[in-house]
Amino acid sequence: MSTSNMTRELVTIQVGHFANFVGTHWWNLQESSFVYDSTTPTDINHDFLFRDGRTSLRQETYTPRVLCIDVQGSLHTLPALGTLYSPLHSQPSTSEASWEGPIQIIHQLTQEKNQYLMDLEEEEKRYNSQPTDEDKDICVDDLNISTKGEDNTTSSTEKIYDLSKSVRVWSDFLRPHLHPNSIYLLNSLHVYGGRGLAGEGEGDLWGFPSGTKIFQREDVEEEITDRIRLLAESCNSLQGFQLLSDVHNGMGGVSSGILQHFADDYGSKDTITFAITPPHLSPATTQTRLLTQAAILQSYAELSQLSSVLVPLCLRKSICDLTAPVVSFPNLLYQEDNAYLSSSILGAFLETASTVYRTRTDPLPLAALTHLLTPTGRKVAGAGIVLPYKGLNEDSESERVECGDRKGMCGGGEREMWRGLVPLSAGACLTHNPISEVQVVRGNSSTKSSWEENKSPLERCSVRAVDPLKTTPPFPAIFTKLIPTTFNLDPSRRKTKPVRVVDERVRSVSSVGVIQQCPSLCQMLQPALTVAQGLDVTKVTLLQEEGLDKDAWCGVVEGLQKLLLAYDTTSNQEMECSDDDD
Amino acid sequence: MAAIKTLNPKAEVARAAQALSINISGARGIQDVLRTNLGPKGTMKMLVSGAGDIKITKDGNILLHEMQIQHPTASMIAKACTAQDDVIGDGTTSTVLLIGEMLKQAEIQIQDGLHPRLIAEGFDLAKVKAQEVLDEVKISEKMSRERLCQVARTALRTKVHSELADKLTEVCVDAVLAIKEDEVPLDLHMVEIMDMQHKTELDTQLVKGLVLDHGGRHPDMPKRATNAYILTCNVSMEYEKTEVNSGFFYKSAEDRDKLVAAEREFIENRVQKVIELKKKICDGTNKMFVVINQKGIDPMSLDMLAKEGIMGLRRAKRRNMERLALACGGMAMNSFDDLDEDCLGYAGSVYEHVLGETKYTFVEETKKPQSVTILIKGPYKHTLTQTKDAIRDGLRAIKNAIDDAALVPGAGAFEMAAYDTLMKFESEVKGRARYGVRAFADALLVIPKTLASNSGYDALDSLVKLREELKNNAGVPVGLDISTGEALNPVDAGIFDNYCVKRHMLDACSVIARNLLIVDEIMRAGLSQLK
Ligand SMILES: Nc1ncnc2c1ncn2[C@@H]1O[C@H](COP(=O)(O)OP(=O)(O)O)[C@@H](O)[C@H]1O
Ligand SMILES: [Mg+2]
Repeated sequence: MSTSNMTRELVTIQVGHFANFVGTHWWNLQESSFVYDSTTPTDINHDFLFRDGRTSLRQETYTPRVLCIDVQGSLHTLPALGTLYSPLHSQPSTSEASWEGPIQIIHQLTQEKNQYLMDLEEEEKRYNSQPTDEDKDICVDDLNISTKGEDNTTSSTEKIYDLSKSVRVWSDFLRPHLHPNSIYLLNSLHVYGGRGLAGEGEGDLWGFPSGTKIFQREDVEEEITDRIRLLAESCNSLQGFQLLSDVHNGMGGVSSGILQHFADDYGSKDTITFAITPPHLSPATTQTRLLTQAAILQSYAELSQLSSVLVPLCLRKSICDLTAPVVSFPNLLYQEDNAYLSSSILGAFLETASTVYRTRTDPLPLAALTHLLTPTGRKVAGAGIVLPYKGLNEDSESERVECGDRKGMCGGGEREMWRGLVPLSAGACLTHNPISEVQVVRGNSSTKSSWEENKSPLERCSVRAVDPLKTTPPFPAIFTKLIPTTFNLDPSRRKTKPVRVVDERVRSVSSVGVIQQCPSLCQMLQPALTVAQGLDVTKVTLLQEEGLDKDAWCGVVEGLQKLLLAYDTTSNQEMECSDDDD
Repeated sequence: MAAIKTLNPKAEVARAAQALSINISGARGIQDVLRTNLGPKGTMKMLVSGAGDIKITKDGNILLHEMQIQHPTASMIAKACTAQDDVIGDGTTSTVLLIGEMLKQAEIQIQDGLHPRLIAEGFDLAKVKAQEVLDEVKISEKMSRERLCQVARTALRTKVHSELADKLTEVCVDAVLAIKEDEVPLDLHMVEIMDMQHKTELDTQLVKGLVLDHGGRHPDMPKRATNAYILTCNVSMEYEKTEVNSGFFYKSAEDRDKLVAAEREFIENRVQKVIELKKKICDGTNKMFVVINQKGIDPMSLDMLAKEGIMGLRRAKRRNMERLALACGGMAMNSFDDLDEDCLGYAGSVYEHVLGETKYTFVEETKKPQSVTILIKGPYKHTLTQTKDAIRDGLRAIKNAIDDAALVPGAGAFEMAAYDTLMKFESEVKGRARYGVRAFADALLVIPKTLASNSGYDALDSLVKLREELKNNAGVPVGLDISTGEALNPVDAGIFDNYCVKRHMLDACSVIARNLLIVDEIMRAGLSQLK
């Protein structure tokens, strides 16, 4: 066995509702890139993130090594145990309750499945009713279905859905089956405690300290750590964890508890943390805004300390100004207040960038990645994506350069790639010449890229995988195309102008994902420290109720200061890029 | 708010009255939902979620939030019940019923013009008196096995059918007695609870030893070991990142392979130490060797162990390290440097049981069975959960009894006694607060009345019988016989509740009822809650 190509597993923990939106897109993209025949080339080793298993009926399974943490009531149509290992029995019977006395069955509101989920269920039924050969893979194989099915039913990946209106929770578009241990729901009463049971939109009304406290509940900690242990036990050579966490509410506190547990029980393992903030936050009152901001700040302070590296994923151009503009993508259209759409971009980023540590040959060890990205203790690294990536030779359509190099400092190919690179870490500008970075190109086969040159492997690791991103449903239609449109009905003054519209038929795209250590991260983090210093927690009732006192807040400010200290602001000034577009 | 007050003081009063009536109706609303749950003849609820998840329970606390009652009063009560449940583990249905009834009684008085504050005062007086009664009726004695069985059985029969309840009673009491040491506070963590989706709930059993939910990860490893040394440890036996930072960025393939080889050798040496010890003490004897590691063991290390006939388990629970040391002797090792026979524990039998993709490892016939495992079985996840919830309650009832060194006669006996005393006490209370005392006394009757109506008897008929009995036999506890609707002596019948549960119930009721009555506070709390 060659060590360099051996499977070194990673366990993923998704904490919070939006983090699970992002994660769902990611697992969907992974599953859709499975290759079932030996002729299709692929560079990805899915065993890093998926595990083999079998049900009690001896059915082989292949499920994500993931633990999804959310709050009770956030799954709608998906049973927390999933349906893979325990198929739903249609009618619950009172004989199942060990009780002699009266038994009352209470049906809580049934939720309607959306069209996509219904089609998926149908496909699976059809697949399962097919005579099984030795290939008992239960993953629904779309090739299989579309070719074998003589009837004119269209598979869910061929159909066009508009899920952007029907998706309310992440399980509404989750494609792979999860293992029964993979979903853990926090008791809503513990979460929302004294604030009344959660109604729609109240899900963010709990702060970091509440999250910490909930994790400290014995039953919660035991349940979460035990599920992580079971995931770890099934790994032959666990190298670490990927933590996707919401940071704008108590979930940041839950994550800090989990990271502390990693430090205690998995001290030698690395953790890459993606600190996620949804772009659609709009707290109704000043109080709730401060609660949200405090959670974000405290999460950054604490999670960055406990992680090997922390990558902010935030489409707004500021980590704590919730009204800052969102970044725009030259070739994408999405509504920032739609979680299903905005999370798809972050999911595509994770799918692309994570390829670096799960390739078939020479995957970069997670330890090496975190070491590369955190020189001199700089714990926060910036993310960016080119989506879709048109390749070096094609004419780039991008009309707008979000940021990056504008002074023509690099060669032609590289400049092409830098056009279209959109920062995903709260607007922190990426540069063509960072201190260190990892780059992944997915699905573009052009042999040699110019931007791999003149960097030592100490500073840059770049990887390309032939596998493109499969953007068939449930991935949303966010890609655009230009179509000539004629304006003005008066024939004499008729003008034709290209208009950008959503292209619903984009089945796969190439992409570039970048994580780098660059000077502009300092500019991104500095305002957070300023906000933290200016916040008087004693004046905010909601924070008082959370039990956040002055001392605790001083700790947060110190944490942020420490984080920033590693970013020596006196050097690298010339790398600064302007970010003044409003 | 302040603006309204200065403009129109009446508006404030009107709002207060409105808030009060919201509170009262809220508390009564949940009382209605939970009323049918109380006691061994209560209605079990099977909650089926929108997605088909099933939860079987009649626990007031669980129902309160599983049913997501959208009412600020409800959530306030639910919060208090959660707190009670966390500390004591029982009595939440009674607490909710009592709060609802106290507010119902208060409402009558308020309609007659009494100020809520006076009622609240009366509640406080009554609570203190009721606590005195509680201390009088409690039975203080050293807990015999028989008594422990009685209190556990009482609790368990309100959770699962009697056949299972009786089975679990034995299991729980034996578990606690196995781990109990004189003069040492009882630590229920030493009772591991493990479940297996398999067979029926009546196959639930007590294992004197440990059951782990993982097994050897190597095809050639022994599946069974008898007469075995147990090495528990927290030492990595897997390939880790190489600590040398520059090592990652090897200049050549050879460099990299060298580093990998060095790391490999390091791990192999560790495993070798275990193997050497095993050879020294086992070879030539009929003894076997088992390694239970909290850290990882990778395939190559597993392979080395398997070749020596050593059973190796990786990623054991942190808490099982402690339990194993307790059960098997020996100590959990953090390094293999000074490994010798004294570090090892012993188990007569270690074997694997495979269920679907899960392997279970049983460690039995241990030196001192001071750590035990309750192995729950059942056909569905939700039946396992129901049994597990019941066992938790049973264990806690036993622990509470031991900690309190006292029990309270159940079947409504305490509530009847307290009612009796409070009715006499009422006349001693000066001023209108006495109406509050009266309201509290009347409210207590909700427990025996509900027990009666849930058992299919007329609540008032039974009440009359109980009061009659109380009058005729002063000093003897009088409770309700749920199979006849007549009076019975719960001590003779072996029906006991925990002292701390009743005590906490009294505290919680008076605090919450007061908060709900004194509307000023409610409005303030309510406003920040409702935002
Ligand atoms: N066999 C019995 N006969 C009469 N009353 C009983 C019996 N077993 C329990 N009870 C009473 O039932 C009440 C507890 O019911 P339970 O459903 O457990 O509610 P709670 O959540 O309040 O504990 C106690 O008042 C207890 O004395
Ligand atoms: Mg009870």
